[in-house]
Amino acid sequence: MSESPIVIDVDDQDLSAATSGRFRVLIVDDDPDDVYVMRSALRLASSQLPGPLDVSVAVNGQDGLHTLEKLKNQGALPDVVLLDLNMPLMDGMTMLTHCRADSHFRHLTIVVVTTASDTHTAVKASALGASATYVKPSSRGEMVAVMESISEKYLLD
Amino acid sequence: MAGSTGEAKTRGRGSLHWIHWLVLAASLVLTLAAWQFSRSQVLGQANAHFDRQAYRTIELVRERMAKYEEALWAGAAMIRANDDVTDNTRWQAFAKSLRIDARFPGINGIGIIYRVGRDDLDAFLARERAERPDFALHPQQNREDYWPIAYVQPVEINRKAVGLDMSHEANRYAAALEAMDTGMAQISGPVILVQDSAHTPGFVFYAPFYRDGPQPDLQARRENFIGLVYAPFIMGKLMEGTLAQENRDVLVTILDADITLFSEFEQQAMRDPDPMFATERTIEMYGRLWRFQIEASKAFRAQSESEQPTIILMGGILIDTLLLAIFFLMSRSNARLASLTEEIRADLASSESRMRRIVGGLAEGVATIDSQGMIQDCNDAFSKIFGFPDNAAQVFRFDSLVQHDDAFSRLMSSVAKMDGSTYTVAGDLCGIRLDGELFPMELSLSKSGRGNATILIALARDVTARRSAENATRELTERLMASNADLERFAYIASHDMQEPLRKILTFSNMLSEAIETGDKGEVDYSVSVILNSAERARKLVQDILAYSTVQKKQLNPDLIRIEDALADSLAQLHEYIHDSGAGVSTSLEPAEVRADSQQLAMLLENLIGNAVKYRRKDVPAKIVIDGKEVNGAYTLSVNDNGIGFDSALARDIVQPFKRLQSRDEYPGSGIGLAICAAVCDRHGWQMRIASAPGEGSVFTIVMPRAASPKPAHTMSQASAAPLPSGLDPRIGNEDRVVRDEA
Repeated sequence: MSESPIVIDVDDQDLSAATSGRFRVLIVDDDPDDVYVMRSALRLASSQLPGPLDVSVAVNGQDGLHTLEKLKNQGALPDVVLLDLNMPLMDGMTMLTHCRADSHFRHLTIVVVTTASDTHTAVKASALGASATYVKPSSRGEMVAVMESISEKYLLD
Repeated sequence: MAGSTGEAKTRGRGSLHWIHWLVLAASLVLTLAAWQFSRSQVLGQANAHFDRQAYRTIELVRERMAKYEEALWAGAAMIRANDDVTDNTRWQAFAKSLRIDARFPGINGIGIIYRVGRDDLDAFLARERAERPDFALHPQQNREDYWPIAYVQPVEINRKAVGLDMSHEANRYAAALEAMDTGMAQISGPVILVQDSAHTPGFVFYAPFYRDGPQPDLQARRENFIGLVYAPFIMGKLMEGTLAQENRDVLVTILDADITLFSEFEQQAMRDPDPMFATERTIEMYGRLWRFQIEASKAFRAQSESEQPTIILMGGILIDTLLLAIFFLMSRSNARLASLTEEIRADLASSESRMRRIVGGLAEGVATIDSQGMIQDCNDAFSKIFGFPDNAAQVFRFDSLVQHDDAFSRLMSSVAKMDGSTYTVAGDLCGIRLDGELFPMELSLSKSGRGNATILIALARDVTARRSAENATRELTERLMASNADLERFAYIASHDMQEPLRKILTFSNMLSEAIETGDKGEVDYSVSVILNSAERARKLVQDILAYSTVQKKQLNPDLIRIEDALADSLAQLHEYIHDSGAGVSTSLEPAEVRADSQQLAMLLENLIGNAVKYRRKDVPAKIVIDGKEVNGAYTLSVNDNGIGFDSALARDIVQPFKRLQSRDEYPGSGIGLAICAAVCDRHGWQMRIASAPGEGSVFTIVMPRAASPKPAHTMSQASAAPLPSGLDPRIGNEDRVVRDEA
């Protein structure tokens, strides 16, 4: 069972034309509906961003690592990785662990966005090296606020 | 029972033993014998004493007579010295010189008798009358010869005898003739002396003298006979003189021809009416036979009577009585001792039997072990623990019953350090039964006694049941803990999986509302579809959770079900789904009946077949092969597919509820299907084996042993906790790879 990463060029821009000043986001989530909401929220929040938005999507941890590898080779490592936890084949915690063990991905901003609202999950994710942990909100407006908060925190400084 | 025997023994020991009686009898016999012997000794001594006294008495008489004879012969000798001539004067002088009173007590006098012929009578009378004018013969006789007493001294007491013609009386005369004829001294038979006014018995004693001395023959003696020296005796006086000085305790009577000469028998004061001894001897006394009758007197009896035999007899009887008393005391002591011993023995026996009952009733095995390490004695529990037949333990060494491991070495070294006083060491050891089976055992050892008398007391307890109960408890606890953890996880995951569609419905409802406002047709459509899908998903999830729970806790209704019918039903249920997917299903079943709950069997088959259809490869049409056959006493049903497969290392994970290997987007589902399959197998005692590899399809094999027995329903917590299904074969992944039939 082999799967190709699904790369969606939101703004119809060629990845190869990517230059500095673009805001690159990798969403790793197996739920296409959640991806739809996050992508939509990112687009709404993009007015705050300094440059155009690049969104890549991977459907599980394994796929996320492959995608990161590919983006690294293209010299286009994401500014932020939005990482779901509960996924088939490789979950978010495992992928996080792999990233923090890899010198190329150690410094990436990886934000865990999960449906799990318990403290235990947040603590564990933080211990494994998550930059922040957000509970998936139940409305797009809240998701927009989360995305704005992330972009402010990790891009504007 | 023991008591009555004891009493019998006690009675037996209370009376005298035959040895006691034998000793007593022997002692009595000895006493009597000693008494008899002593008596005979005393009697013998008395007899000898009597004999001596009798002899002495006779000898005294004899000696006295011999002395008188000498006096007579002295007179004869004096006459011979004077040429056969004597006269009254001379005789008186001679007789006085003899001093009869002093030297010859008992003699009445001494005198001369002449034989005077008739012719010589006158001359004789003339001569005598010259000196003694009144001399005359008396009594007057006319005879050839006369035998007058011429002289006698002392004259005074014998005056009547002077001139007495001895021939006048037979006894006197016969003795006189005899003396003349024999030339020997001679005494007369009993006579009454003329001079004895009391007229008591007496006799006269003659000694003859002849011219020119003793004559050779009778003729010469008769021719030359002159006369006789004579002495008269009053028997009483004689015996008084003879015996006066003697301390005699015999009485004597002397008879001459039945005429009593002398008798002491009249002395009633001295005479014993039943004399101890009596004897009679006849003695030849100068021509006469004197009979001596001698009796023991009262004094003799008094002297002879000895206390010795009586003392011996009394002493012996006293000793025997004491002996008897001692024996009785001893016997009574023995009896008391025996009774006490019996009591103690009975106490001991009852105590021992009580102890035996107690020890025998113990659940613990108890045994005593001698200093050689052999089992001496043991209770039933001990035999039972080690599997000995009855009373067979005694042939075993104790250390052959215990596995020699470290615990045993430690225990034995502790035992070796024990001194004689009892204390106990214990250990957890491994016992060995007679059939070789090992079993966990608690063993306590106590030491008692010293040296060769040392014994060990062993208390053994078979703790197999306890250990297995402990293990079971531990396993149960572990299971419970695992179950609790599973329950937590299940609740967590279930709530997560339930929240997800609800959250989406909420999110996309908001988005739908915004899209309607903004007139974004595309987002309206998308949101509606998400909402519908999410609602459907939530419903399906609830259904599956309910189904899973039902499988675990619902009462099974096992029936004999024809497997081919069950499979046909399931395929019919899935017909549309299979048809739409374009999958091809082939079956190859050996017809068989299995015992199963029909609903659960249907769930199992539909989940397995449904999964095989669902996880097909996109580019290859699904090909599903269902096999069923009898293998080693079990019906084995396998579902082979040529689908996407998975890493068989994940086989354990995929049977957990909500566990998914694939994205829900691509392969929708609740993630509970295989968990239901595992639970059904668990309930029925079946095994589910899973073999798979990514891209190479999967084989799910259900092994239904004929002997399998359905399990009871889980408790509520277990039902929903979904522990690792025990129906899952641990050899997952090691099964043969699925053989692909790409054709």
